[in-house]
Amino acid sequence: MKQLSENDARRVAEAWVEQYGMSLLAEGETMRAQGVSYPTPRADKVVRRVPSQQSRQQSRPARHARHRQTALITTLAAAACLLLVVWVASIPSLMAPPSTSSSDATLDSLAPAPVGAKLPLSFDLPADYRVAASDYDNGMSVYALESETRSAVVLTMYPTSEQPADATERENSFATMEEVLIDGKPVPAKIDLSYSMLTFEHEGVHYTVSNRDDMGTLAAFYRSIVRAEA
Amino acid sequence: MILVFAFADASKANTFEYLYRRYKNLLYYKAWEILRDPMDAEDAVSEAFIRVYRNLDKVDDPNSPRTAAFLGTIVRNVALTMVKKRAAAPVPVPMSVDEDWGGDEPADPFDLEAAIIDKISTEEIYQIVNRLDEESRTIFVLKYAYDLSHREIAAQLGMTENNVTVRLHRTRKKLARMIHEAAL
Repeated sequence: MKQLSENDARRVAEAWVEQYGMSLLAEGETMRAQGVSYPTPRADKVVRRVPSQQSRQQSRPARHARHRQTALITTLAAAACLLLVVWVASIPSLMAPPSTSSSDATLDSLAPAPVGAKLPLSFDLPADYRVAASDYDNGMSVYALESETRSAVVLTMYPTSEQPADATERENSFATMEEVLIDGKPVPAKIDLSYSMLTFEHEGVHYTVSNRDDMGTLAAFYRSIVRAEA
Repeated sequence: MILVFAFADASKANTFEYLYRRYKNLLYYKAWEILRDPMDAEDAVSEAFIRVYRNLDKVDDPNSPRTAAFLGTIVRNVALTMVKKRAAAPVPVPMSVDEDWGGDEPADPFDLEAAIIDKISTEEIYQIVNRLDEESRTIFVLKYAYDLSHREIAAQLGMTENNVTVRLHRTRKKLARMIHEAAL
């Protein structure tokens, strides 16, 4: 028996798709009209999407108005970040007033990295991030990174060959961590109500990036780091 | 496992978010119809959207029947795969080449005559295609309605490219016979 030609196969497939799709859409409309909704918290969590782009496309006045309205939330989130920073690195000086600019990153990247010294940022910061503060303490290089449109990010780095004394304790606390799949690669992550965190090793350096609940931004940092050193 | 989807641009991200919001309930229900388990149905929805993410370029209009059918086809396939795994069914052995298998070239293809096509309504075609087994239908639709390559289909369905090729050949042959019979 002969088979359908390619053209006929396409016509048949398209006809089926049209009918099936219309029946599905009708079913979906019926569900919506009846108010049928299934709670899918696990799927919602798994299918964790990057933040909506709408906030980035808002006009400046609208953004400012929104910022004023969420001042309290921001303050609380900042407090959460502070707690996170203390937990991650125990570096009080990190929260000192910003005194450096984005040129720090460039200058740092030009300088050699002496043993036991602060590691330079050897990658391009995503979007409009800039270095607000940086420090070196207990074997860890810590950068506070700011952006006008996204939440602040804390980046800590240390060479895997020079694991800081408190790193083991910190790693143990990662036992409850989950994994985020970024570009097909699983990366250990921690996501709570107040903050998100990614931790990974690359080219002999251990990185931890954290911020308020914005894993999409952390993924962007991950990509910048991995791409820069690939 | 938590997934962070990275998109080339904002419009793709928005499309994906819209698809999830709009079709999540429907796909959940479709998966539940097959799996009869809320947790498994959620997993099926998650897995389906991972596959949607990988094939987001196939989505032009999120509100079109074509998109709905694409999502429905994917979630059904995911759910049925889960059923197979749940039943610990043996993995199908890659199909051997048929005696009448002529390779990639659609040897002696059957062109439907205009008269035959006119006799068959879209609804009849729909019913005919529905009589195919689920896997064959999925392969056929992904290939000829959504232009997925054999490799992409094989990855979607967890089979070999050769298996996809053979199944397509058989399906086209079977459909030619079924449509011809329906027109008589």
